Amino acid sequence: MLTGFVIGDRGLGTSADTHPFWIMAHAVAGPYLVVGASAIGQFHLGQQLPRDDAFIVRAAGPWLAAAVADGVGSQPLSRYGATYAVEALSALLLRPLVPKATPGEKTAARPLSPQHWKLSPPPIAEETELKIPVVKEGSTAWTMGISSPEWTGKIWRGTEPAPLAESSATALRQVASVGWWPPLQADRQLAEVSQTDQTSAGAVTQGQGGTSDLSPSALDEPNLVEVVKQAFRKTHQGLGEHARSLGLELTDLSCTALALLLNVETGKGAAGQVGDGAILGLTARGKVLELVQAPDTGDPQATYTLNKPNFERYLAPAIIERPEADPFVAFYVMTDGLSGDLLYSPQTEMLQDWAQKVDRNLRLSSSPAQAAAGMLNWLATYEVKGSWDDRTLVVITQKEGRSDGNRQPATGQSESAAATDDR
Amino acid sequence: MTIQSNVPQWGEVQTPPGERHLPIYLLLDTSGSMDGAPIQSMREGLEQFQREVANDPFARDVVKVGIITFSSDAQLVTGGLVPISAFQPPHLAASGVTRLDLAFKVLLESMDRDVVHPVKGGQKGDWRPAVFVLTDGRPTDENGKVSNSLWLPAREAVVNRPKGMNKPSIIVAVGCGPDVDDETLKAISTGTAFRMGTSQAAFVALFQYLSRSITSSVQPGGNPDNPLANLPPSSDSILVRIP
Repeated sequence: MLTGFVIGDRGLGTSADTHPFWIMAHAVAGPYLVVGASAIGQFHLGQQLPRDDAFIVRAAGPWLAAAVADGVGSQPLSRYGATYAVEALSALLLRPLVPKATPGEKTAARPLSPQHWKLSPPPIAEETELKIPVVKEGSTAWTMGISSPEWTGKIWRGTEPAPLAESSATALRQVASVGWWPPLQADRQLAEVSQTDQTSAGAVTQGQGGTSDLSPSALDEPNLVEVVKQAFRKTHQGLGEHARSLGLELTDLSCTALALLLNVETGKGAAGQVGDGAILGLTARGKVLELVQAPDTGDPQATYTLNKPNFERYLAPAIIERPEADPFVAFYVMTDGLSGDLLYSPQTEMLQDWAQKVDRNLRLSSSPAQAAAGMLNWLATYEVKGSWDDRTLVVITQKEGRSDGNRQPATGQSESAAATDDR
Repeated sequence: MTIQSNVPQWGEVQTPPGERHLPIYLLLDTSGSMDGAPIQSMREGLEQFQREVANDPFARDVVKVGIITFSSDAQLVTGGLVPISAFQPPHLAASGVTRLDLAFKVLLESMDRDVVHPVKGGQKGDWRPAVFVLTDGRPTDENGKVSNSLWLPAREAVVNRPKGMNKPSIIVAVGCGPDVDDETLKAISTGTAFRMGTSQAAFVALFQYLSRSITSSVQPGGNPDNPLANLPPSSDSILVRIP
C-alpha cells in the first residue's frame, strides 16, 4: 500500500454543482511543499457566474501529479469539463506508475512501526482567513463588493479601499476536509514495503486502452512522455463520455488542460499542456524556465482545448530535466488568468522576481495552511488592468535539501494534506 | 499600473507590467447624403461617445478607438488606434458616394498594423477589435450605383481572415434614414444590426448605446470579446434592433 493524497477541486457530475468560488489546498510530499489555489475572476464575480478554473494535486508513493484546467468562458458549463479534466488527468498520470490495489491488500496492510502506533491527529485544525478587498462608493478604483449573505456581485465606486465589512465576511462559508498521515520516516518505510510488493507484482497493466512495459526495470525509467500522452488521450476520451453522461455536447465541456508529473525522490518528471496557461520551473540559481513550449498554432488569439478532436496537434509533452549543478527547486502550474499577467512582458527579470518571491513566501509561511491562504489571497486580490479572468496556481516547492540552501523552518508537525473551500 | 494584494507578506509579489487594450473601430458614412444635420449630429455624437467612455474608470484604461470615414474614398482619420482619453473627434465633411468596400480595406490595414498580437516575453495582446458601421444608405460602386460586388468581398476579407491574422470579434451595423435596407445591414454585420432616424436624438441614442456597450464590456463581469453580450436589447424606440 503506497501512501498518497488528493487535494483540490472535486469533479462535478449530475449530483450537484459544488464548485466553490475560491479554493485552496496544501500538502507535503517528501521534501516538497505543495500548495494550490484558485480564485474566481472579476468577470465571473461581477456576473454572478461560477469559477471555470479547476485544479487537483494527487500523489502516490514518490509520484506527484498536478493538473489545472480552464473551462472556456463562452460555454456556461465548462467547469464540468475543467473539473473532470483535472480529476482524470491527475489519476491517469499516476496510474501506470503505481501498483494496482489487489484483492488481498486489506488483509496484507502494512503495520506502522511501533513508535507510530499511538499517533493521533492534532486536537484542533488551523483556521485561515480569506480577505477580499472591498471598495467603498465613490472610489477611483473599482472592485467587487459583497453586500449581503448572497454573493450579489454589485459593483461600487469608492474612494478608499476598506476591509471587508463584517456582514460580508460572515457571508463567506468555509468548508474543508483535512487529512493527516505519519511523518516522512514512516512514509518511507511504507514506500519501501510497497516497492517490494511492486517488484513481486511484476508487470502492471495501464488501465483501459492498452498496456505498457511497466516491469520493475521499466518502472526505474518509465517513458514519462508516453505516460503524459496517454493520460491526455484518455482524459480526452473520458471527457466525451462525461459529456454524454451529463446529456451535454463535448463542446459544452471545452477546457484547457495542463499537467505536471514529478517524482519527489528523484526530481525527474514530465509535463504536458493543451491550450493557454503555463508550467514554469525555478532553478536553484534563480532562473525561470517555461517547461512546455506549446506548438505554434498560428493564431495567438485563438483558444485550443482538450475537447477538440485534433487536440494532440496542440499537445506539448516535455521531460523535466536539469543539470545537477542547477536543478529545479520549484514548479508552477497555472491557468492563463495568471500566465497572461506574467509571460507577456519583455522584463524577464520581473518573472524571476515573481517566482522567487512566491517560492520564498510559501516556504517561509508558518504552516502549509498559511502558505495556501496567502497565495489564494494574493491570487484573488492582485490587480492588473484588463486582467479579470479566473486565476489558478499550483506550486510545488522543495523545502528540504535545496541546493540553494534556502530552507523553510521546520514545524515539527506531522505531514498533512488539506483542501479548503471558501463559499 | 498594478495594485497589489492587501495581504502584507504578499504585497511585494508583483506581476510584470503590461496592459491589454480593447480596440474599437467606428466606420462612419460621410457620403453626400449625410450632409447637413446628420453629419453635424454624428460629430456631436462622437464627442459624447468620447466623454462617456473616457469618464468610465475601467474603459478609459483599456479602450482605444479608430475612426474610419468612408465616402468616395476611405481614411483612418485618427491615424491609428488612439487611447480614448486622447481621442479628439475629427472634423467631418459629407460628400461623394458610399464606398464601404474601401472602409473595410482601411480597417484591414489598421488591424494588421495597430492591433497588438500577444508575444511571450514581449507584449500582451489586445482583445479582438469591435467594429461599428454607421451608414445612411446602401453601399455603392465608384459611380454611386448601389452594388454588392465591391463591399461583400471586402467584408469577407475582414471576417474570414487567414490563421494568425487579427479579425473583429463583432461587426455591428447601424442604418440611419429612410434609404437603409435591413437585409444589407444584417449582411454587413456579424449578426447585430440596428435602424434609426437621422434626428439629433437618434444620434444621441446611438452613441449612448455604443458607450454603454463598450463600457459595460470592460467592467468586471463584462466581456470585451463581445461588447454586446451584457447589454440588454435597447428598449429605446429610436434605435431599433433589426431581427
